[in-house]
Amino acid sequence: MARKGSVVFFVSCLATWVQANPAGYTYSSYGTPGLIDMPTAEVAEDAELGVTYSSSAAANRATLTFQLAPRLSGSFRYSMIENWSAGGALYDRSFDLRYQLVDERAVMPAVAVGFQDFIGTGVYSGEYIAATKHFGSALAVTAGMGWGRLGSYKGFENPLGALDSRFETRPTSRAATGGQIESAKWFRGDAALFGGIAWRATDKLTLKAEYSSDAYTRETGAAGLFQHKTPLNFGIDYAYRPDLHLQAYALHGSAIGFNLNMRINPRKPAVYGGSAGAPLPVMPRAAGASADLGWVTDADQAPAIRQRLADLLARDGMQLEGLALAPTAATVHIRVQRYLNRPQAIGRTARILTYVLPASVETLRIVPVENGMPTAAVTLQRSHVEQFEHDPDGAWRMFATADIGDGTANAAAATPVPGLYPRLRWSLGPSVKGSLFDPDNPVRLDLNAGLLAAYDIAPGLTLSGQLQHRLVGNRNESSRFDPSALPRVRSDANIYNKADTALSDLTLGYYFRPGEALYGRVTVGYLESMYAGLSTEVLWKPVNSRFALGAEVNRLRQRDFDQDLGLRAYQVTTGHLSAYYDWGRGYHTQLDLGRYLAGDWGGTLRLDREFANGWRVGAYATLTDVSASEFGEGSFDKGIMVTIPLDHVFGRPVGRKTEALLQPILRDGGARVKVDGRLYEKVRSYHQPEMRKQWGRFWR
Amino acid sequence: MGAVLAMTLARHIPKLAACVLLATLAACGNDPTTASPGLASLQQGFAGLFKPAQPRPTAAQIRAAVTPQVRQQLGGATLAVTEMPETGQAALVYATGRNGDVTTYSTLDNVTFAYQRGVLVGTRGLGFDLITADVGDVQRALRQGGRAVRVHRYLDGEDALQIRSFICDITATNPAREICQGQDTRFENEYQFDAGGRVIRSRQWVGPERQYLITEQLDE
Repeated sequence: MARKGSVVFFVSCLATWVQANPAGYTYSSYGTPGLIDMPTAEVAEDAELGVTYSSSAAANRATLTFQLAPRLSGSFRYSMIENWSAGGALYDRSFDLRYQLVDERAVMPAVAVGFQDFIGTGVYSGEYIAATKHFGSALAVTAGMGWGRLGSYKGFENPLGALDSRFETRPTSRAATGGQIESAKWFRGDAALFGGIAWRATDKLTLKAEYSSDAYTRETGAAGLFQHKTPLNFGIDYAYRPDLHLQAYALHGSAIGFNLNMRINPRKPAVYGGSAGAPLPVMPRAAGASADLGWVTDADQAPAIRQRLADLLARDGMQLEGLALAPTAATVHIRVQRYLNRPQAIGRTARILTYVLPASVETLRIVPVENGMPTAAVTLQRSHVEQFEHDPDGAWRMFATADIGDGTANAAAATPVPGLYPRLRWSLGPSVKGSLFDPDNPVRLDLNAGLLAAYDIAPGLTLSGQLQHRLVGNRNESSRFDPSALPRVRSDANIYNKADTALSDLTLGYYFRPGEALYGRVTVGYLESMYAGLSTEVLWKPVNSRFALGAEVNRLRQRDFDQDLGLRAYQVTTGHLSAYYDWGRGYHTQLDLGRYLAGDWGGTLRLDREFANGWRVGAYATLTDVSASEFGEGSFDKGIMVTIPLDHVFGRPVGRKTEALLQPILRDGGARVKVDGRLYEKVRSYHQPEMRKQWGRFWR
Repeated sequence: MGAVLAMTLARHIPKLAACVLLATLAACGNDPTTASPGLASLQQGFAGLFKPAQPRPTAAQIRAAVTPQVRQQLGGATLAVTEMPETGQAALVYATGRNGDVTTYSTLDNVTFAYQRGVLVGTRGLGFDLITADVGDVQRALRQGGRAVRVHRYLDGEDALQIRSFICDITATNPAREICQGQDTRFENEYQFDAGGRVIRSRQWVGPERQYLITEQLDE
């Protein structure tokens, strides 16, 4: 009996141990979970975006770290080190990857391997293996071995030299332009040990001490930024809120530094399910009413039904585009404005239909329309809508009985709502534009007044334009001239930014469905601030497929620097074949092969992690037949994209997303024209598997 | 088409002119898909700062304010008062839907509560809503007493439905008490019946964020 008791006690102890460890991690001055400068084997919460700014005599660093998967994280960092060379400060971009090989168990520590600054000019390049063990919920102890920068203090002969003597020397950087994956350097040269402890004194305060293996050779040497008096660093982290941390630290006995760390988790919006108003409750039909077909012969009925439907939809942020009414079936074409969650819009439309349709109509076919293109046809049975409204498993039962088909079959059937076309939409408002990573001024911002207007001439045919005027800002102040071995297709962007008033775009766009699973677009005019011309695109995307193919051909001419109606001499034909694949669990890939703006040929690979609520974090890289030296700094084009649904920020449905593109270096190789309304993003949210992922909100 | 465009433009000129003045502060326009919601929200937020906070009505004040005239204005709908002790919010609700044995009540600002014969089976518009509740077992136990299982569904941050289930012990007295235990949650519901067996007053648990909802029928 006593023995049994002690086993239970032991197990419950273990349980608290294992449970307690994950929450307490903090970010280092490099913006990854860690101590002060040194990394740990900890991982951030899955999908967390950590934004860290750190400042000390050693460097100013801004880092964005994304927990790509439960074990894998990636970081992008922009750093400024003063007095780096005779030329002055060094502005440096670096990328890290960290993979947790083993997660923490009752006895075993967590073990992670990391690659710091693995593409870039290599200033911070270093690899490490670290192990972290938690004792109770408050104490975390880390020990590790580092190479490269992390093996620069008290380095010893590389133990991997036992495997191959080539490990003993670390080659120097091959390319002055950076941007190459220098796997030949990994884990080579001297190694050194590092370690430290983090003690979570209270929920808000964490005290840290570390033994650093970074000698800061150049910073404390030629640059003379501070002195390396001791390998020990000490820090104190204060969690002002769980998602906002401040940290102060003493660096090598002679400098102090500060960190500001913000954490955002796309999986945790402000309000789960959103705080949109309630939908209309279902209006069930009276028993036996569905047999009444008297209304069919009444000619006045249809326009009245259409009007009532249009009014109720408009109140819920949807626009009725067309209605086809038959004795037992109805097809409604809707344009969804408010709900990024498409099943939510379908569910609300279904409920509204139970109010307005005569009782004999049993089959409800809802066709969401984007730019005049029917993107899908969702067919529901009205009796199921009545039956499953309050069913405990109502959403899945509804999904199981719904049919999601191609929208083309019903395209012609619905009578368009009279008076919808032509229609002018416009808005006037402020907008902020930024230019990043200019060494003369790393952050430039403009506040613009923007006038957007769209004139819908007929379904699918829209004339739209945007005029921007700078109210205040400094994006016009850049006078840099970066020489380029290629046609100057993007490197003159700063000259375009000098225009105070700019016609950002003015296009006539036509969208159509050439056939089943096919979507088409033709856009002509001033496509973006730097290019005008003709852009054509075809997309093949079956409604139930994870796979899609696209083709795009553009005939372009460069626009005048002042962004009025004039054109410059440079002309080019570009185009791509694109393949899209949804791997599931939110991971997406896109591969484009074709010709880029400078006439170079190559491909772009894009990887994204997307969340059902609209958040998306991704990265791309473009390799073309332009060599690294022709390309210039950075060696090839790459970037990070973060898409934020405004619903997440405001907690109410806004129906829009904002996308931020971080392109460390804008050069002429691998550049593409920006065209509004590319097809894949227009249609896929109404297709599988997206609809199934979001279906939980059908009854919300 | 040119003429139509010119006419359409002319119709918009007065609004456009007024808009120019406002443009530096907030967005305006006729198109919800392009207007900037951020600044509009900010502006509302600022406006709110300078408005004196309106004292929210209590459940008692709402009960007192329901005169026969008010009932008439609401089309003679069945009325009730709801109160959420967690936020201190009270509201008048009126029946807006009936589907089988489930009645849906709505507040004037479009939050709804659905009850299956008096037992809460859903909320909409609160945020962190109770999407569905399987209370078939609870309905039986409310008449006979005993143990019941109830299953709730909520949306998580990625719009997937998450199931929480509870084991509930019910004493079928008047008021009836239901004590529920879930994996990490415990709550106690209470139901008061009239002579006809209808729930006239209840205190029921919505979910971990919203906590309890008190509902009281307002009969004529």
